[in-house]
Amino acid sequence: MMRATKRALLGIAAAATLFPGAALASDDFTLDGETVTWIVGFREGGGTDRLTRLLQAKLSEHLPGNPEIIVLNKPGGGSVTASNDFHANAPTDGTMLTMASTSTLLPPLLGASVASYDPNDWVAVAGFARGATMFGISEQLGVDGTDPAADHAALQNANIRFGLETPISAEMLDLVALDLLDIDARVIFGLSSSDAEAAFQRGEMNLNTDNTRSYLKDFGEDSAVNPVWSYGVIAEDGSLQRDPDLPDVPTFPEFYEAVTGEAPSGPGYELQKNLMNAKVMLSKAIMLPPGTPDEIRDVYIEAMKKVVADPEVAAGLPREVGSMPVNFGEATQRAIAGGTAMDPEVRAWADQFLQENYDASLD
Amino acid sequence: MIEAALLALAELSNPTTFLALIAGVVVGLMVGILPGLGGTAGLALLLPFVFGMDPTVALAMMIGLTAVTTTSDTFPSVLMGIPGTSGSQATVMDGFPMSKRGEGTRALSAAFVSSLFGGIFGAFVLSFAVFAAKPIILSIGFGEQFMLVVLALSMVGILTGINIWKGLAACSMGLMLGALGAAPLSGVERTTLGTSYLLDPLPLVIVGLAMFATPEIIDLLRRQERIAQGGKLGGGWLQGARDWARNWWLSIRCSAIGCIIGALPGLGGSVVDWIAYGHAIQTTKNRESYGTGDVRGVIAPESANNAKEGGALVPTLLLGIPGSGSMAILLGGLILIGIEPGVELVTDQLDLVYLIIWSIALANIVGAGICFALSPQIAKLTTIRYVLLAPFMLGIIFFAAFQATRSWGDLIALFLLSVLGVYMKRFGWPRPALLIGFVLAERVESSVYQTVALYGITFLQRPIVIVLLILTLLSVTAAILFKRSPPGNLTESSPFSHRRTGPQWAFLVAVMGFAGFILWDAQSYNQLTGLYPTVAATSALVFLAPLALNMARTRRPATTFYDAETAPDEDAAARPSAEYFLGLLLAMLALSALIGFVLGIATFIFLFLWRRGAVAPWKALLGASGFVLFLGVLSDQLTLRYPAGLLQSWITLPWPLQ
Repeated sequence: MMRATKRALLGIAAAATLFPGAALASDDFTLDGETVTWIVGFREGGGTDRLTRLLQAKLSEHLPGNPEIIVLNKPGGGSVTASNDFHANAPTDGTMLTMASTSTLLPPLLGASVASYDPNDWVAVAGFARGATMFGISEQLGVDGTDPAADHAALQNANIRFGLETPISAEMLDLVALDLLDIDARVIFGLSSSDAEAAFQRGEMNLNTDNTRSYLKDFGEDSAVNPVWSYGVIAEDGSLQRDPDLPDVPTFPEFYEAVTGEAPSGPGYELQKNLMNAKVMLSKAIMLPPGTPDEIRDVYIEAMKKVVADPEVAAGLPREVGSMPVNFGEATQRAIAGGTAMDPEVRAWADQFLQENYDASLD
Repeated sequence: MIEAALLALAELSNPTTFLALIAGVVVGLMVGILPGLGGTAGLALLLPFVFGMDPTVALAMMIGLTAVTTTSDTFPSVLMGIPGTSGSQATVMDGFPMSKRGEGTRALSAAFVSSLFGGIFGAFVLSFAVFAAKPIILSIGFGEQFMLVVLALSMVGILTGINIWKGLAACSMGLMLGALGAAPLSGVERTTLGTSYLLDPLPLVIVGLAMFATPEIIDLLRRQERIAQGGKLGGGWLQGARDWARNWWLSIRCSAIGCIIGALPGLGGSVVDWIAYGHAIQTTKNRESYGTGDVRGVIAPESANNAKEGGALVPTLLLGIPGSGSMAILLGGLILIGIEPGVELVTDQLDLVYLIIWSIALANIVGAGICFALSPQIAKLTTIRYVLLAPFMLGIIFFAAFQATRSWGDLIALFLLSVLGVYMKRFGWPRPALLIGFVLAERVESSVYQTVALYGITFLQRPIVIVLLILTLLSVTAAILFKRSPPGNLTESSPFSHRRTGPQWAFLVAVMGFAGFILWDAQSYNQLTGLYPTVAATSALVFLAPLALNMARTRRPATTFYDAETAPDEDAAARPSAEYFLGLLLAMLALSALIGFVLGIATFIFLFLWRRGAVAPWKALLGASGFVLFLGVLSDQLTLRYPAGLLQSWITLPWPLQ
């Protein structure tokens, strides 16, 4: 039933793109004279803010009525504060939208009581995937990225030092990955991603995780630092493909299979897939408030498609999110569902994993 | 290298670039003057404009802004006793007493010369550091960062005031306040008191305003007709410059401290002014005069906080790792205009690096020049009847607090912490000690854990750690040897009287109760979350115990006791109490809850000017409307939405009344 509805919706969405005339209903819709507020739950200058401003510059041109668009930064609680307010109070007339990020989607996924919103109720406009990779200092770890089995053996024997902010965060993806591969690491908490990068540059940490784009910029030319695996990208048909920016690096399941001889499975891997959806596929997502009518959504989707095709924006996008394709509407909504819906069995596994290893709990 | 430097200079002499720099400087000076807005807010203000600009032009504008906020932030610090940015909290300590003596101009002049010198010193250091500093920055690991934090914390020793236990307890209170909100190591919502406001730690700007601004405003309202006593304003222009020249060596040392702390990871910029101030006390003669209006107490922090910017740019440009909040936004801005910081920037785009360096130097010169030109006029504010100034000041600090997270919680937090600040002032608890504890709280928590988790005790074998350890020991020794002049009048009619100590006891018990609560609450978390508050609260209780014992046993006037209200004063009965003014603020907040902040503060200003200031109603109305207009313009420029009240949930009001 569920699937049938989704198919139907997909069909409509496809029809809408095939026959622009089908979106006739939205011809009456205009934002002329309106001010559109684009909520960013983070501080100015951060990744989410930068992407928003990159797109903001062109969005007005492509919206009917060319409204004024302002970016409103409402930092607090890793965007939870702004999201709670957005969920409860944002007007559904197309004058307010938000730029969500992985940390917007994680609290509901992991069941944090402070988050009183469900991003599945929000209306997705577009999602920006951004590759992520695990990389290490070759000399300290004995990995060179050529043979997964040899790398794995080296990692199991190495004195790994890995820094991250908190156990319950997007970086849980990496902790679960290490656990599935039976690799022990000394994990140091309290390090923001830039703190962790600084410590990695100093060699105090020897394993690090970052988005592909930052990795390539900081260490792409550095032969002393090599990627171990990437988290890949989910293609339209649902299969996991290699990161287009790291075509020679195995994805995590490829690495796992090369080491153990079988494909990863079980609740641990299911959790990994959830987290991968949230972290990689929905690195950023443009969302309208719950209850926004379809025609307004379609207007925004059309506008956003034109915005990302604008040469100036297209030139700037790789700098922010790498070269993965942007997803729109239904595809984004699907990724959110995949990233935030967690089986009770998987959740129980996650809880036990956190309790056993990090004295932390999801409740 | 020289070629690149000249190329950059040529680029800067291009009128468009130069005008952009000046525009940046002007915006920077404006956000610096407004308390609560600093480089962070200023850069956020520029971001929408720089997007799509020519990179060099945008760069000049952003650097121009960043370089001078710590020049103009001296105005409110010196003239009003309100820290203009968190980088000039320490300037208040001696700058404001100078203003009260009528030496505002002299203090400002000394401060601007120091800022100018510090800024150029920072640019000069940056021009070498971009080539050589990478190995130095990379040698500062967790152990070194931990020792830097300890060294900074040792500055508390010299700033404890007369009673050592009160000083240490105040520092522990700062450490405890830093434990509220999400735990940095586990992300657990720690001691949030059930509010979503405390998902994040308390904002520093609010703690700073509550410790200095509100208590000073209320105190002035009660005790003084005008800030500058007698309403006279001495000249002192040249005097200030001469003061700087006499203390040039102190200024160089503090500039170096500012540069180093700005560049190294671990401390961040907010504590630079306190370290420079502490350093000045530790290393100069006639220390007793610090805190009473000693110009050296202005020169030290002002040299350091401008030099800090040059230092903080080193890791930002070289490693792409921001050293402070404003550097994080600057980094974002650089990426937005297509400049990617990193080693390649220095190797491939050296002319851009020099453009930055020249821009800092030039911005400091222009910024200090403008401040000099404005200061005679602005300093006249100190001769105005304070009752006319105070409601606007209060409006501005609440506006400033609201910049922290832009939520109602900011206003409430400012009020509650202000109550603490007012009583700390009344009972002689050193507020700088609390601030240092608070600023360093998160660093203490994470760096201790990270160092021990990674190195155990072996971190002590690292050479830089040993050097820092020695410096810390020297700093502590200096604090112990520092003979605080015994207050002249330990008599029964002085604040040190041992009689009528009920209010002091009540405050002490309240502080103990808070520590007890933190300790109790901490036990409900796991070790990663609960250990830090346990240690902070325990240390508070350990320092409070001897204070309580002394208070219970001492039967004569002593430094253990202090209550400013005991001091004799002819018209003591005639003036309203501090509680009266706190009550007014609470009423203002209650009113704002009903009709929104803008109308609430406007009503407050109107009534205050009319009833307390005995101003004609139409003038009071004019004043209140002016402030509404001011808020309206800022809301437009900064994309702000002021806290709404019940009224706003019923009807939509037109700009600027929302």
